[in-house]
Amino acid sequence: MATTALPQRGYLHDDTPDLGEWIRSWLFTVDHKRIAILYLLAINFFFLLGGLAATFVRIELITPQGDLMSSDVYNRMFTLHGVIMIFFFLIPAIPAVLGNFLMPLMLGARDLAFPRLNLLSWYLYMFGGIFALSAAVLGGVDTGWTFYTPFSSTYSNSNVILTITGAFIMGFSSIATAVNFIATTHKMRAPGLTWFRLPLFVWAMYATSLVIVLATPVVGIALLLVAIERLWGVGIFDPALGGDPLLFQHLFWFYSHPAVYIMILPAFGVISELISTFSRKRIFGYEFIAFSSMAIAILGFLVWGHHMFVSSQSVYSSLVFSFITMLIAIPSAIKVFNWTATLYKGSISYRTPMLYALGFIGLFVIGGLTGIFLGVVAIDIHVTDTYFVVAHFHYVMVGGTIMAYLGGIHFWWPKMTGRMYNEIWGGISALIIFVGFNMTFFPQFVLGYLGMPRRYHVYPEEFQILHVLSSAGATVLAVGFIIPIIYLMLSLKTGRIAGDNPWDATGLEWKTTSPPPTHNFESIPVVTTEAYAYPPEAAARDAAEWRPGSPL
Amino acid sequence: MRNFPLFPDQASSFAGQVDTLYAVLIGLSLLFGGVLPFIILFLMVRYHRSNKAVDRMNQVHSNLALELTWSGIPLLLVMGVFFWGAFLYVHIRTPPKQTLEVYVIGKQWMWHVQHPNGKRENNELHVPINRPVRLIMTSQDVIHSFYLPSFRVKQDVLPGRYTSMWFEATRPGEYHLFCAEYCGTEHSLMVGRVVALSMADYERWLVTPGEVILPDGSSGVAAAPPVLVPAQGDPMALVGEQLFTSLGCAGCHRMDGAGIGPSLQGLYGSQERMSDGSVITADENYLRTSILNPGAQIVAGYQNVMPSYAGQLGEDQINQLIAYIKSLSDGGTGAMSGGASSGSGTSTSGTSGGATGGGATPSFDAALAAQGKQVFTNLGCAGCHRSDGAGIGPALEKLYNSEVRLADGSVVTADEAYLIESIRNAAAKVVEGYQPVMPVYGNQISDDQVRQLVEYIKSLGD
Amino acid sequence: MATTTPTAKPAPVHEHGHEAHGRELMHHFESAQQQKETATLGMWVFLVTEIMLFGGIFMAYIVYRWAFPEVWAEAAHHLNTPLGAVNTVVLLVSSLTVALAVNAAEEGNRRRLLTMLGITLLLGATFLVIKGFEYSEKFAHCAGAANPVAWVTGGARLEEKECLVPGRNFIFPQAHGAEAATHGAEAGHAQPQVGPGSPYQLFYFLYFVATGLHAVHMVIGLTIVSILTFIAWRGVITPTYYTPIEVGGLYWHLIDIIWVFLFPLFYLVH
Repeated sequence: MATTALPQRGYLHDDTPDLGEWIRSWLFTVDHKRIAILYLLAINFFFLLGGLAATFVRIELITPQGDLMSSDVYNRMFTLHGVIMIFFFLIPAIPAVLGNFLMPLMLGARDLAFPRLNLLSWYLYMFGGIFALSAAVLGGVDTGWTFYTPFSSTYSNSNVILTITGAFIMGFSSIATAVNFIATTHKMRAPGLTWFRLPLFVWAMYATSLVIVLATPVVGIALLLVAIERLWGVGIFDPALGGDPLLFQHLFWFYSHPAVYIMILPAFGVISELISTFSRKRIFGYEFIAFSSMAIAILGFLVWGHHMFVSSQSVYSSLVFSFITMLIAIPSAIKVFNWTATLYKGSISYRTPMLYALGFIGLFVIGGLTGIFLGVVAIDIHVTDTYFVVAHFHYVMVGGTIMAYLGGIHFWWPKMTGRMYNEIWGGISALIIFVGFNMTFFPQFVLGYLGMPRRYHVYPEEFQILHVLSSAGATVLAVGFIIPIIYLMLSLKTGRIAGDNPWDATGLEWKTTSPPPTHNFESIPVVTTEAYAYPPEAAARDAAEWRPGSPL
Repeated sequence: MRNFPLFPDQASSFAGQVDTLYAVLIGLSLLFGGVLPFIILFLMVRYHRSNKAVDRMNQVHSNLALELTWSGIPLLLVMGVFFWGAFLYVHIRTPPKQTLEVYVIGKQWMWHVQHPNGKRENNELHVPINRPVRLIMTSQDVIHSFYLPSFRVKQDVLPGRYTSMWFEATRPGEYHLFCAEYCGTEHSLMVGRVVALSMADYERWLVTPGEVILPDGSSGVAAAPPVLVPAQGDPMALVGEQLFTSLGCAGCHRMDGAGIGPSLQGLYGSQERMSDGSVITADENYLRTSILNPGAQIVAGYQNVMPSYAGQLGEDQINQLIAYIKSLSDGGTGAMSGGASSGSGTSTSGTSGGATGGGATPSFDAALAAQGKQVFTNLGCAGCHRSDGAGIGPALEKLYNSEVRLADGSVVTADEAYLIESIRNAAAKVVEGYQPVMPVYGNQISDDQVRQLVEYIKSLGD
Repeated sequence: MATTTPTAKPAPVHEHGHEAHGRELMHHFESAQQQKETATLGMWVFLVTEIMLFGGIFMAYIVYRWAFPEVWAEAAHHLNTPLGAVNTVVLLVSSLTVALAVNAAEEGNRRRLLTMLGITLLLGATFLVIKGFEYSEKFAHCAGAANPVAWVTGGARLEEKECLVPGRNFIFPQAHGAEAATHGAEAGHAQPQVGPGSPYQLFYFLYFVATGLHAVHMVIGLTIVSILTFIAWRGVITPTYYTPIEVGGLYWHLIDIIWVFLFPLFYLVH
């Protein structure tokens, strides 16, 4: 690396000494990269908040009695954890931060199609967040993140409407982002960048955007109806007022099951990038990975009923939903196998992003396989609404999405900031997170099969040992999440200057400076090759160049 | 802490079957989830960049045969798992013909259970072993979920409808009962136990009186020990029959099928044709809807005339009515053993003439009229004798001492004798333009009550 | 910098200044054509989300209509079908005027463009006024007045109690005497008045939510058309740049189409 200083024209650079001017230049920016940074800050704030709530939940569960907090406080804590983590962290995390930053760069565009809409989406996100936070501050909400009626619409005495409004507004933020991504992918690709030359991250974001556009409005209207029922006492979901409580569940899961794919599809995209780069090798089965994303996006709309196997839906519909749920395992398996095959004959390096990617595969396999358990109705009857489900979706959401998010943040950190983070601490924290995660959530599978129901404030004593184990793991996990915050912040001042392409990666985003200039490219690139176009000898050459003392 | 179990107790006939499938799934998962990480670890080490000894040339980037293999094999496996699970699921959801039926009401935050012989319990469920038990469940407020981990069964309990599940306990003992659907503040205290007993112990338990809190919050000791006498029909159905009579249902739902409403004889479990042409199986949910929202589904050949009882009956009472209607199907004929006096015990005829103010002295006894009004309401008379004249029966306002034209063309004066006769034997003199549909109260109501009713009718004006 | 492969080579240098193209072309687009196509695609995608938004209500409608077919047929009689029909015509005509406005913009006929946008505004406002009258009729009935005017002036009272606004006071009037019973004499009168908690209320609940949400969209649509009129008046719209008119027009058509579904579903059920 010949470069010793950050490029002068980077998007982060400001020449105005005036503080007010500087703040305005950020809050009114239409640059997708700056908006991504705004999102990064906001989303990590919400992550810490949701994590804090989870901490209280885990501490409470160390003993079987409800001794740390009252049941009302406990219910508010796990609801806060769920609402914040799902609506304000997991759903926007990868699309709004990494997607916003990378989509135009990967596509060779100067910005997203609708930059002002993009800024609006951030404001909507913040606005929704303020609603959700004010609900928490003004006494919290105790419905669980699922807002099941008629509890949420009639019986709960907490700030349901404020929270629902927050989630509703945040939904429009997602929609704005998704519309932007779809239009950008279709219309703003660089010359020569055909669909099958797109990086798999773009494919994943495109599939995610389709899901967001089709599913989010439905939950929007469902939440709106809950709010109306609550405000005016008019029945649509409460049977005492003439409504049908299952209708809410159908509308809710029609969004919230695809929402799982809104969270995990972008993660697939990130992992494909990481595995290829750190194997110095083209991805194995590009088309299969790309189309499996689309298949998951489509099938994801047809399985919402598997959340309702014990809700009294008919036997036939349960069987149909169960069948399609089984099918959806296949595209997920295809991805895992293709990633594994990519490693073969590669030149693998254990840089931090790669550690996250490998950890992702392991955890996602467990999350995915237990998903099959839950898809089999006969077993689901026993384990649904127990800790088995809790463990399953944490393996997918935390083990999947958060691992990919952290891996992606590390991978593109040099591009976003122009500086390298501390590789040693990076590796250590990745390992701590992997160990802590498994300690926290693996015992919960056992707990669940033993019959421990979720959302329990007090529980029978025989479950205590597993809960203690889980809480101990959560402590390790918390340490693992805090370390990256510290060394990433430090890297902003002391990190080594990264240069344009520190990983020798292939994507268009690495063709511009780090950090990129405001309009991304000095000149619009012309693409002549597929994605991940490592030459056949790249892996062998990389291994040949390795000397003791080079990065592992 | 018992030696770290991985499975809960196996206490029902399903438990072993579910656990077997679970174990097979774990085995299959280990095949993938257990082996794949080792493959990844192997590749990670072997192809690490520091290892110069391996061949990295001649890379392949796609292989259709490989893709099809690793899509096809998992597909076959999950399909196998699916069909296994599907058959087991259908088995779990299909109760056998003969089951012991127990009614469960969920409310924030307790379970209330009523057995067919009338015995009630809270947060406990006693069941016999080796006998299929079917729970018919509903909720008074929000969604709950009845979860018995040791039996591997769980079913959401919804307000406004019935859900049911069945199981057969196999081992005597006490097991957890959980509410598995989050239902508010004390969700985690909505727990209890299920007690599986041998048949002999169960029958002994059934006839032991116990104290319970009723769903409406009042506590009641079962005054007399409930009896288990299957031959005479069970008490829950009996209470339902009394309710049926006192609500005046029998006036329209005549057993011979000649009433305004369809006969309920043999209704439960049969196929009913609706006025819109659809055919519905008359299950618990259908009966429930028909009581609370009669206009929703109308039996072909009948009119939408039944008043809605929504909000007038507790979940408890609906359960009793349904138990009664079901008893009309199970036992074949009859079951209409009369004589169930709907005794409102107040038979004191306190003649304290309440002269209200000046003016015309009332021609009726105010105290008796007040009691009469109570009887009138209890018997459900108001369902038909609506004050606006729009009911099935004539309005009673200004009836007393008026001239009434009867169906046979004659005219009578509605004096006390006429009123008494009309109450005791409604069919004797039918008002013109009305049908003889009112039940014959005969000796089902006491003379005192008739007296009170007459005074009440007189109070409505003359 | 050791890039392994030259995936990209520099394209012909792009003159990135605003002199190179019209001032309406935003900096990140290469050509006016690209900008137009992108904007149109974006609007189409957004319209999909709008359809899904109403889709939730239609879903609820289907579920409850399937559950209570008779109730639906009977409840629909109490909506003001003539006014609904007039509104349908009003909206259909407005769709035509919007289409003509787009055409005028394409041809650069500023005068016709402004006229058509003006008519559209008028028609949209007419729709809202009629809708408002329909709503106020329902509210007037709840207050016991026969019509909105009487409600304000204290004129004619409603003979039969009726309140079709969902809520505690909801009362659906008795069935018509004409549908008298065949089985029991006068039994037709036995239909009780139905209040809150009945499926009748569900119908009106969905009616108010669906048409209310549609009316909110109408207000947004009117705002958009007003802005379009303003920029057309300022002369921003040219035959080479009329994307705002086209995209705004798409939105207006969508509102129209949603109404075309709402009208038969709520007013013409049998």
